[in-house]
Amino acid sequence: MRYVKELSNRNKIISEHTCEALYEQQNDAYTIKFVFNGAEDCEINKRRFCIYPDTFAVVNAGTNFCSKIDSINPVNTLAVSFGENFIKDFHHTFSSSNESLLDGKEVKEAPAFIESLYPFTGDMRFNVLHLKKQLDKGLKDEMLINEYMYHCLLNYYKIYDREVVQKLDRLSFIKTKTREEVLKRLTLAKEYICSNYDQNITLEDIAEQACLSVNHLLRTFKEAYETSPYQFLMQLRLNRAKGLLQTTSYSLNEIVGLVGFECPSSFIRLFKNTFNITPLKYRKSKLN
Amino acid sequence: MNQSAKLFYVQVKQLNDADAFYTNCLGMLTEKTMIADQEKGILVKADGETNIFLSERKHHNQTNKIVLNSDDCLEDYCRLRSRGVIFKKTPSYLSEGLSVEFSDPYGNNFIILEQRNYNED
Repeated sequence: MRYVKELSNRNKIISEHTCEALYEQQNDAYTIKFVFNGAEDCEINKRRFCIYPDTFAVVNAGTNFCSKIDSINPVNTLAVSFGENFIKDFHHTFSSSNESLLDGKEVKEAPAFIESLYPFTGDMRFNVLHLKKQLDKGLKDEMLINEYMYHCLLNYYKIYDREVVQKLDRLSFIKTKTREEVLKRLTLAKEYICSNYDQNITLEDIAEQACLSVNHLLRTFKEAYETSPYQFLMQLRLNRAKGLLQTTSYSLNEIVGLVGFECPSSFIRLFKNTFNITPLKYRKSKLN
Repeated sequence: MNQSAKLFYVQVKQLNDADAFYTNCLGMLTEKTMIADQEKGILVKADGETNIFLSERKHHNQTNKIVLNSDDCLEDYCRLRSRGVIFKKTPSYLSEGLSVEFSDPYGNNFIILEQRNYNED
C-alpha cells in the first residue's frame, strides 16, 4: 500500500506499507526517509547502507538514489520531501541573523547536507510518529502537515549540528578541509557498521570501507564519537536487540543471532552489564 | 467530575463572553454552576485532567497561569490557531517536552505542554 500526498507548496509525503519494493530515481527534492519496522536497503551515489527504525537517512536534491525492500513481514516507511522554496526559506531563516533577516535579502542559497544515516531519537522521533499517526487517520489539513514538516526540519538541523558540526569541532586537525574529509570517511565507517552490524565484521573491513588505515580510523573515530568502533558496534547490537525484544516474539537465541552475537551467554552478560537488567526481564517489563 | 483532576480558579471579566471564548475558540466543554451561594460561575473541562472554575469576582485562590496537558502539541497549536486563538510564540522545546503559550482575552496565560520522556527505549 502506497500513499502519496503532495501539498500546494510542493512539500510531499510518501507513506508505504510493503513487503517488496524497488525504486531507482534521481531524487528531485530534499528528502528524509524513515523506517518504522524492518529495514530498507538504499544506495546513494554507489554507497550502500540500510535504514533501520533507529536511524533515518537524508538525501539531497539531485542525488541518484536507489532503494529496495525485500522482507517476509511488511515494512512501514515514510519519506518526507521538502519543496525548494520551503527548504531555502527555512535554511535562510535558520542560518541568518535577525539583522540580515530584517534587511530582507533575497534567498539564494540551498543547503547541502551530508547524506547519511542519523539517529532517529528525541523530538524528531516524537514529531514524526505524530505525523505518521495523523496520516494513518487520514489527515488532510495542509497547515498541520506543514507544521509537522517544519518541525521535522527544525529537529533535523539540531541533529545535524550535534552529529556533524560538533563532531567536526572535536577533530584535532588544523585545516577545516581535512576535518571535513576525515568526518566524511568516519561517516562511511559508521554507516558500514550500522548496516552490517549483524555480520562478523572486522576493524580492517571498516577501515577499508572508510578509506582510512586501521590506526587512523581508531584514533579519529574515538576523537569524534568518544567511543571506539568496537564499542560503537557492541552498543548498536545491544540497542537493536532491545528493539527486537520489545517488538517481536523471537526467542532469545534467535535475537542473539539476528544482532550478530555468536554466544548467548556473552550477550546476556553484556546486556545485563549495560542496562542493569537481563534480556528476558527487560522483555517482561515491556510486556507489562 | 474526575476526582484526580487538577482544579484552577480563574477570574474573567464577563462570564458570557468567557463562555463563548472557552467553548467556541478553545473547544472546551463548559457548564454553568454556582461557586458560592450567590455567585455564578462556569466550570470548564479543559483536557480531561484539568478543570477550570471561571468567576467574575476576585478570590484569593485564583491563578492566571494554567498548564494544559496535550498528547500532540502541534496538533492543538494548529487547531486552536485556526479557531482564532493568538499564540505568544511558536511552539518551543523544553527539557520536559514541547510547549506553546497563549492568553485568553482576560490576560490569563495558558501553557499547552506535551510531556515527552526522552529516556524511554
